[in-house]
Amino acid sequence: MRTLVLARNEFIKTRRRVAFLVAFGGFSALMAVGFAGVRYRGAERAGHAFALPGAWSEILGGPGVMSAFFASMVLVLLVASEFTWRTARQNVIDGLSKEEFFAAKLLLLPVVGIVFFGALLLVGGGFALSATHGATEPLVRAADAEFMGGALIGLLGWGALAFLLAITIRSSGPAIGVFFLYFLAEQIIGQLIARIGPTATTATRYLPTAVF
Amino acid sequence: MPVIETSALTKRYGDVLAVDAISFSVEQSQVFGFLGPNGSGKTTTIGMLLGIITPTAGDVRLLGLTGRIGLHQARQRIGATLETPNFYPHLSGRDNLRIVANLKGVDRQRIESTLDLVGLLARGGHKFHGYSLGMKQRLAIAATLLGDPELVILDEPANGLDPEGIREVRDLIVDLGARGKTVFVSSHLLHEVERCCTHVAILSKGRLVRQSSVRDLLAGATALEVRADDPERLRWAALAYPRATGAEIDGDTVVVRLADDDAAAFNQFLAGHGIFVSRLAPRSLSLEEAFIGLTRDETTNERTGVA
Repeated sequence: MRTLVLARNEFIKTRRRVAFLVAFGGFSALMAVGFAGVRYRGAERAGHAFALPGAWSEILGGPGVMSAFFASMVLVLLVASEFTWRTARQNVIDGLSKEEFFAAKLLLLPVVGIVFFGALLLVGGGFALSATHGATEPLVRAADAEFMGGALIGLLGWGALAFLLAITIRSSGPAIGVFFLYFLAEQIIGQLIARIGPTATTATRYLPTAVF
Repeated sequence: MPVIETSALTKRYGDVLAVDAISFSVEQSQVFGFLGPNGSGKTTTIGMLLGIITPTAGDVRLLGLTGRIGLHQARQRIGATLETPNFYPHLSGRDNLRIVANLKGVDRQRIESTLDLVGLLARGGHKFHGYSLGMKQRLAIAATLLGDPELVILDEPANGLDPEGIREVRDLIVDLGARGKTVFVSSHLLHEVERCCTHVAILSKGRLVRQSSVRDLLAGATALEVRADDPERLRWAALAYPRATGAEIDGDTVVVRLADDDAAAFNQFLAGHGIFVSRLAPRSLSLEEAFIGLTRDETTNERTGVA
């Protein structure tokens, strides 16, 4: 497996991809505006400071889900287009094994995940740090690190589902559509299970997105 | 050892038999034309040669290697395109070649010289989606040549090219042949194939109808130029002759293709039908005429049940 070659080629392709640049720029801008609002509104309200380390739960909560959503959409766009353009086939003709082709795409999963998660931590953490004065605790507590790890695994879980849909459906539009439908279907299934009784309700905690 | 060798290669899609047990071989340094009408199974065959399409039956050997792993190893030593040029539309021609170069372990210097070779050096920095079809074809050829391959497989490389572009592709193929490379090219531009290929295989409805050197094919492919008072009546009489494979009116002459070269028997047949010819002369066929004759024979045999 020529991991370095695969990574180099994915870098050449991704850095010029408008879908990636727009999604990353849009996500970062959205996070910056959102966290700026929380930080400065928080400063005006007594008793609610958007400061570290307490702010991690706010950073990783709703915005964390948003980062998983953006990263998943970007993954679908980056992976499915290879089949639309038939570059997947040409890559194999050019000497890539089929295993290497999928490995190259799989490399995108942690990289895209870490890029979006990193942006979330940097932007959110940056605003929270600017409001942190005289903290008595470490900026990242053990519990915060655990929460971060969990959120990152959750993001990778969503990304894995998006990746699976992209390589199965091989077309970005329908893959994104099925991705949304899946979440909708899971919500409905969860509610139907919950109607059975309190014991069955426990089972809904083990549905894929609930686990993530 | 043949560079390409197939044995009873077959591909079936449901009820459709796309490729019907074809066996052929391509030797080193041959410039091999792979001909056939649209839908005759050329691209499916090339897909199987490259290991992209799994055969229903039969065997492929590429550079002496076979099987999934063998064909993967062989692909690293060849340059090939299948159907339309498939590149990343958002990347420049140069970046696209950089990706291929990384896969083939080729030095970056070679990218510039290859772009220069196909006349794209000045436009190498432009995005692929802005290229004309001709430029896309040239980039595809550049990609196949990047790794200095032992075998070059080109699927309809002249598609979408203007006459100047077609001439350039032809010169490039001739040049590759002159440098001892084995070139396997599928095309429907028969006069181009005639000018640059040393050997051909002709496919019709998934079946291989002929494989030979271009010289042998043309030497064996003769027709008769026949003149008589009534060309139309002559044509109908010629078509009724059991050994005739075709007859067309060309001005005041009827060109008759025969399955054998027995002109005397044909003349006797015409006389028996009250047609007396004023001229009867052999005529060498072009590859195009030979191709039409062979593919028509195949259709006729199919209709009449001749194996």
